[in-house]
Amino acid sequence: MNSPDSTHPLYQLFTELRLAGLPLGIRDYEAVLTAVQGGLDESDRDRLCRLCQALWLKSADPTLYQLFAHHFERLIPLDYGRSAAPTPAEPIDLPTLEETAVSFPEETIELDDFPDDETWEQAADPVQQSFNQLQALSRLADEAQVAESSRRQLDLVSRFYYSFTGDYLPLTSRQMKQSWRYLRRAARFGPPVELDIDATVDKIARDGFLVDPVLRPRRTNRAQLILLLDRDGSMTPFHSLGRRLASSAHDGGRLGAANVFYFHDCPRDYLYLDPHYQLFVPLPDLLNHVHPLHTSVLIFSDAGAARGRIDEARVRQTAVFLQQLQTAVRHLAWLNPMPQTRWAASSAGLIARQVAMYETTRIGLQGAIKVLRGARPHAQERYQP
Amino acid sequence: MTEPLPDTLIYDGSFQPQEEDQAVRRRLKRPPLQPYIPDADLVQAVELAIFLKRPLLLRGEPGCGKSRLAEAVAFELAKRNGLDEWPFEFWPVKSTSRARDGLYIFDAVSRLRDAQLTAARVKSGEETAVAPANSPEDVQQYVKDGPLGRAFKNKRRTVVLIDEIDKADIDFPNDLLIELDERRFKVDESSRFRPDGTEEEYWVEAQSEPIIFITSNHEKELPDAFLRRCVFFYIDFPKTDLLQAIVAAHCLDANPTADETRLVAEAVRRFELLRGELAEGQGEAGKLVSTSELIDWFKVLRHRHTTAEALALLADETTLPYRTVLLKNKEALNRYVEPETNGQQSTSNA
Repeated sequence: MNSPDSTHPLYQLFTELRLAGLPLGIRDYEAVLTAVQGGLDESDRDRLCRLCQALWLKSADPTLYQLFAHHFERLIPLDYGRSAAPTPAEPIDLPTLEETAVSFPEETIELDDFPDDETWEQAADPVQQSFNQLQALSRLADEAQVAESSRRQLDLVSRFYYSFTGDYLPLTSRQMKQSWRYLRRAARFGPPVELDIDATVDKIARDGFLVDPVLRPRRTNRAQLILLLDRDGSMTPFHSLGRRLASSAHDGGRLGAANVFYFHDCPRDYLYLDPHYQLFVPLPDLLNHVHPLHTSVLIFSDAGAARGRIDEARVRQTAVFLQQLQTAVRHLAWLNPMPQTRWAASSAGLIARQVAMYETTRIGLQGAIKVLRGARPHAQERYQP
Repeated sequence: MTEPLPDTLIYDGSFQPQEEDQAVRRRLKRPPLQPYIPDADLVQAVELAIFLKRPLLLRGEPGCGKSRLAEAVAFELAKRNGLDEWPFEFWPVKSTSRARDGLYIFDAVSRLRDAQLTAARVKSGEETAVAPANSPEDVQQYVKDGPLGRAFKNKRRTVVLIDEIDKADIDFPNDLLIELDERRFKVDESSRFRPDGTEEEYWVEAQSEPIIFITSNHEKELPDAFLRRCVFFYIDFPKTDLLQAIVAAHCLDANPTADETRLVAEAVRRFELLRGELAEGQGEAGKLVSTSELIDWFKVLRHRHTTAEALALLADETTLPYRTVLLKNKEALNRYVEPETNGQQSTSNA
């Protein structure tokens, strides 16, 4: 089988970007090849750079451009274009590429649609990627590399002791936004713009003639989210993660409403409106104003897992708070930024028995959102002390 | 292998609308066209999109010319092909837009009305019983083409502008994937089931590959599956010389005097100063002044003052003439004062 020339700088660049987590498929590589072979780059390095940016980056995110520039400078020779022909001496025949493409999944980013490792291995065989790299590939998202390295760092650290290691971002905002989209509670709301066929037919039957079609409001997402963020103390390293949760829910989620409240260590009978504890709202006031059917609450806190010991007062207080909450809202989930392995010997282990608690990973967030949508947590997914 | 683009399909901004072009537009009852000056990177992105037959996704600050580009490209293609007008379709997306609206709209209410009228006539004896008008051709008369549908039917590569795609529902871009990829669509209402249960499908196949421009204000993140089918370009804020060229193209004659050129330079300088101050003052959150506001502001200056007067007004950096054209929030307005020569009350600025 004729595989793409793996020594070609463009191909190496493409592979590097894929390993760095960009959601690129073989068709994106083809597109650049087609453009280059069509004479569009005019053998000019700068133009080639912009061409690859336009086809591969698709974002205005400066970190992506930095990543791209780094690999581009490293891999594309300075005399690119002036030396030999820019493309492999004999152009890659596209049908072969097409064949290869078959085993690549088209939608590399669909949530539940990751191919099993075998498919990837098969697909990547000509690409000569090791299995480890394949695992990295499955975490496709914009800043996945940052996420991955910080995650690895923390895994390593948390095995021995706990320390502040700067920003911990196991989930990218894009992944968060994609997950939030699943939090839906559709209800008809707004101006009547949609034809109600049943009502129209009924009206025709009664009037004997079509006078006017009956319209009804469109279904929109009325899901309201209350996000409770634990601040300071052991949560300090997760502030940026919390901010990211809040902003992604607000911007990308298409939620009916997303409100953020803050607390320290353990939510009590009042919650803060700002991260600096200046304004607060008593819990009963808040609960009186939420829609019992449309509202779900997501708590983001380590539940004492970072400290690694059992604080009975904290567990009790949290239990009281959760009970109060459960009287007013239907769906409740907990995201814990600490890895699950750390929960057992701490307050988190006890709290996880009272509420669906998940790790802050992509799978964890998806699980939490499933619970917020009203699904019963799967026995295997749920934390087993 | 793939052929390079022919000259007739190239856009590089070398054609700007002249008086005779505007006359042609008036005759065709089209609004006058404004000049559009692209930078080299944008030209390359357009070339790429036309060549690869992929939509060009444009992002950038409000007022940076995302939506104007498509019409400028259509204009240049018309000039290069010696036509009065190149086919151009505009599809403004609204929050209630559905992807299918761009392909076709089915007028179900008219069809129901016609069917009922026929039934009523038969009942009253005006007409004898007729077979129900259910053949694809009968149904097709209630199908109205949308912008993308018309573009598909045109033999020339129609320029299509899908404006502000992020205003629509989150599923909207994904619903267009197949149509953009395969350049064909099915009219469900005209498709029929044969007696043996198979479907007689009614497909509209594209006669040419439309040149599609999509703008987004990034109110929502677009789905990855959609993004990967596009060529992406972020329109950066223009640099000084490009800004000057843009203002001159919009507001001055072909041969400006030295003073006029100086006025443009001065206005752009004050504008960039203001933009820098605003960016510093309000960070990313606030609205920055845009190119389109600069053009408006310059037009007001030219309209109300002679070149010499305007130059004098701009020279005084403690005041900002016609600040309301540029500034759209109270905090920013409070920071700048109008010069007294405008006849407006001004307070001393700290």
